[in-house]
Amino acid sequence: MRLTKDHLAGLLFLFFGLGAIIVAQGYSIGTLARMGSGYFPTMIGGLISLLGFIVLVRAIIKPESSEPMATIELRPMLFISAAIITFGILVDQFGIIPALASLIIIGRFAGREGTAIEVAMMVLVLTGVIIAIFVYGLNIRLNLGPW
Amino acid sequence: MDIFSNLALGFSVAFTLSNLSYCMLGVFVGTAIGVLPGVGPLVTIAVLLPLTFGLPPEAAMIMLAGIYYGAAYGGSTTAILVNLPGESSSAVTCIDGYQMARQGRAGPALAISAIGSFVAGCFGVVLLAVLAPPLTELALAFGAPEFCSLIALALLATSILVHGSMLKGIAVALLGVLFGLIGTDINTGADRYTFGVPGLAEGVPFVVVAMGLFAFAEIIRNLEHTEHRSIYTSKITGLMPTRDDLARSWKPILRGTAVGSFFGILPGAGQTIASFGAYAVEKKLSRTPEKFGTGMIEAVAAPEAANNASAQCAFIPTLTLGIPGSGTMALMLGALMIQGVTPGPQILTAHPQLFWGLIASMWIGNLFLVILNLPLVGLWVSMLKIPYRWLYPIILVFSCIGIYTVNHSSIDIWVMVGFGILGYAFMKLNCEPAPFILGFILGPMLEENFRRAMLLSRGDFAIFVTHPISAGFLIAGLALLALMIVPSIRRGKNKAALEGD
Repeated sequence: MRLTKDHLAGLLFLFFGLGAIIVAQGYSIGTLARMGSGYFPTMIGGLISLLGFIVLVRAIIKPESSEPMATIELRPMLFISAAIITFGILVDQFGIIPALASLIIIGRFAGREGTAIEVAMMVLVLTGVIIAIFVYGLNIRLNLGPW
Repeated sequence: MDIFSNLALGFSVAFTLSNLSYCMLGVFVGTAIGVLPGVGPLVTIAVLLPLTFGLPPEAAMIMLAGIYYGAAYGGSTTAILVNLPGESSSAVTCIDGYQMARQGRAGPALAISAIGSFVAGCFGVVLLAVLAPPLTELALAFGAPEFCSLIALALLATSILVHGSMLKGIAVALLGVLFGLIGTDINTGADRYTFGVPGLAEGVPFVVVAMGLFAFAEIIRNLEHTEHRSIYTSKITGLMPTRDDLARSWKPILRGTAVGSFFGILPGAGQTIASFGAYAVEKKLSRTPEKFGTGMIEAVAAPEAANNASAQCAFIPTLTLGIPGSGTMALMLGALMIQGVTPGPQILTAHPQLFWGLIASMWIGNLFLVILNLPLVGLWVSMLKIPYRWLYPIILVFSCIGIYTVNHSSIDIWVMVGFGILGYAFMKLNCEPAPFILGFILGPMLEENFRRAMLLSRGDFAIFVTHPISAGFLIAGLALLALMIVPSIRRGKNKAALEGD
């Protein structure tokens, strides 16, 4: 059996739907007339699971109704995530200049084109623009650097 | 008549120097970004949202509205010049607009599209001004069951009208509802789905969701396929349409406006269906339908008018009922909430300046659109040549700083990565992300009204049917569902949405 997009979509919905139901059992459920905090999430989780189940079953019975799973190119995803996570780590501790520089430099590896000079220019210009707009234009207090 | 004093109030708000500049800035930035390939209106608004947080509510909404229809118009420019719709609603403009560009008639195509948009925009603004007061009157009589059914209808309509599988659309909308519940339950005070993360008690900020789902996922998709475009730039000489062009276009513009207004008011239908509908109407009425697709100016005028009319009219349910009909409108609603304005029927009495100021500025914005766009075509064309490797760092930088400035919290940034990965998974699995943001915004409202309705009826579901307005919404939802099961209509919808990709 080949793996189609609907197989995985069904599983994704089931994962979140069932997860929501299981977690919601820790909250007070109540009755329909007096709902506790767990009632509505359980209901929504149930609906999502039901839809996920239908999507999955349909994909198993009629695999040709959905496209096969394409190969995933992990490079852009990994580098963009890494760039943003690093930004989050650096921005609190060291301020926005190092954080922005690392965001742009690590983000550069998500693509395949561009020279080092281009990246350096981008760091300079974008950091300048951001500081001009947010710090001077909008008067938002941001730490510029570790100093 | 009351409407004139209201409009006068609106223009007095919109005509202050600062609001005029925000309107112009919004239209300019919106168009510029809308022209950029690979950056749609959802991404544009999501990324620029934090810039408006510091502004007063009127200025913020005026600027965002400017960005919104600027981006919509920018999408048409790329459709005509590069055969690449900036968004799905301008896909139909590609068909004949690009052919006109290849015949050296890009100028008239762009001009007619601007004129059509302006006419439609004016009409949409009038419709909004006329319809809003009676609609809010009606909505003020709504109780919990009515709102509950209306929200259900909006979610259902949006998720089944998006491209692709109906089941997956509804499931994605419900996932959005689920994520909207994260945080403290206002009724009981219990924390839900926060998993002990301190920043999550107040819920996930909606900017974080919007940026992750739209900006992050878009960047990755664009980096995965590098495409090469050919631009017809050499021959933009005569901008002005000929007398013949105008004579052929004015009726399609009016018809497109009518079609667009109708679809704009309906929740979920939106601009894509409006523009394809207008195209279909013109083809039916034309004496030479076989020439459609070879560069007919009618086929540019009507969809462009419809597109803009529906863009304006989409504000009607959003502002008067507090129920957005599309992903973009959900973002506008979120922006209103961040400004501390509760959307819904009270808005007209509680914030008349905001409401009428926004309406007046929409008209001014449409005027700016015409004034700005025609002389600046050269600038837009040169922007089309910016390579994507320069664009995505800009989006990244603005997203990250934008999110950081909301709460000064790194946690928000990491949560954004999570939503980015979710958005990427949606994309890979052919699930449209737009219903998610709608569900996310409407989820808490849905729960609140559902709980109240159940409290009122002591747990009896019949309350949704015994209240006539609520029953009407539910019947509309069921009718739509039934309609989509008819194979020929479903194929038509998917064809329309497919060509939009």
